[in-house]
Amino acid sequence: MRVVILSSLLALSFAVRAEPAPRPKVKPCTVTADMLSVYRDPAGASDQQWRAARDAALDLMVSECRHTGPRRGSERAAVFALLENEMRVDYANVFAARRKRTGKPLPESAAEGPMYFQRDLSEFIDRIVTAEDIQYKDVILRYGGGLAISKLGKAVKSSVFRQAAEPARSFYGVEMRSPQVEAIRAIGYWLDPGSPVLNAAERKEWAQILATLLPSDGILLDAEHHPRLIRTALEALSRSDSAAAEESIRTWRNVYQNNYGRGDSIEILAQEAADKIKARNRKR
Amino acid sequence: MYTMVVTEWWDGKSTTHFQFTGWASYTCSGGSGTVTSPPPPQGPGTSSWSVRLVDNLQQQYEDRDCEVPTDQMFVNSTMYDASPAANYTFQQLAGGNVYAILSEELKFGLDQFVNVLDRVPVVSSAYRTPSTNSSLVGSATCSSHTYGRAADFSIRDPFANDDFSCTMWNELNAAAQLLNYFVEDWDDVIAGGGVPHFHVDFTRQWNNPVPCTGYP
Repeated sequence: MRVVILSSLLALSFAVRAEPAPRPKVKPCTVTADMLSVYRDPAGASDQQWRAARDAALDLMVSECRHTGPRRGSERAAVFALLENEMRVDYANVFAARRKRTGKPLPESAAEGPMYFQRDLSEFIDRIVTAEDIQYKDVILRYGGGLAISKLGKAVKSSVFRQAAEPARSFYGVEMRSPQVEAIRAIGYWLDPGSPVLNAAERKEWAQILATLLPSDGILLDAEHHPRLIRTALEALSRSDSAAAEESIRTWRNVYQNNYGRGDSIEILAQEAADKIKARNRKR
Repeated sequence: MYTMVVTEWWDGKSTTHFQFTGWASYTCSGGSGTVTSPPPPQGPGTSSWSVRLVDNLQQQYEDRDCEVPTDQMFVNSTMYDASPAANYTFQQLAGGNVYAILSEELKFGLDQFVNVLDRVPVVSSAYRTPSTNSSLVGSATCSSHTYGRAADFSIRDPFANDDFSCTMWNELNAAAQLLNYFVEDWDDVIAGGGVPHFHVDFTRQWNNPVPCTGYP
């Protein structure tokens, strides 16, 4: 009897433990005035105003509309206004004003804030943009990530081609993003044979153009920014079904490997990109 | 043949144009003059180009009056894989760089966190080059991130709709106390426009930081 009771208690305790904790309710999709208020005078805004603005935007990014963004016109417009305003902030100025105001040096973590915020915002914009957002195309082309740009589709095709082929006049964000690199990334999404944006001839042509971004002598011009560009090109080409692009990548990888040896992150990415193209063609 | 002109940021100081003209050649001009492509390597497997990449990174430290790391401190993904942190890949820690400093203290410390917490906390950022770090306006140019001795953990809770979680921050802090690692004060993390995260330095001692408040 005692054994039965003990077993029942044990079973009950396991049952209780197995019961998942109630999941907190998802925040409502709310756009508040706080979200944009700091951008009128970023350097003059107080710590409390910045906190309120960040919380309003960060809450929206994990809210009920985290995958779609707000649907109401004015609220959706506010999200793209947030993108434009945030990417234009001169944080050197903001932090200098803060140092003057508080008389204290800025903690490193606080300086990291804009980097994390801009990353989160960019991912949010990537998630929510649809072809319906064409009225915001200027902001998206200028400050959006490649995925967001690509989602605007055929309506921005010629603009994206131009943007990809022209050197950017300026950079934005604390991570110094380039509209040109994002346009290249966008074209990568269009190289996917399942994408309706480019026709077969255009896909072939752009795969060929992007392959020219891989330096023929396999030499990196610096340790940071050139690898970033090459990585973008390889990721873009990996979505292609161009056998010529696959061949170009494999040839380039050999040259690169002769220079830098096997197994660094770019060499691995090149291998993966070529293999993805091959696998795609094998399926067809 | 197509011509593509790509502009990239050069070491945070000047705008540089990478010109790609078909398969033939490229030039890199900007800053104080024109940089032409270096002479070709002497033969297969030469490491002279890898040395050049590390030189380029070391120059960033020198330019910013930071202590210049030795060649041996830099690793690429193959070198890292020979002695990795058990639960983190090179890609997760190297900030998109081909070479990075991922110190033994960092790798050991990350593994220790996993052991104590019995889960793998998400690293938002570990190594950053001095150039990247100084573009985070106002941040310490020679910070622990640039020597691969610090990491930022995300405190977004996947079981709470990815909302920020003080429970996670405080758990991480309890682990840091046990392991005796430095933690940046919560007040400093969220000062001004800061975004909630957990900053730990694996080469400094626990400092009884101001704890997380304001989130579940």
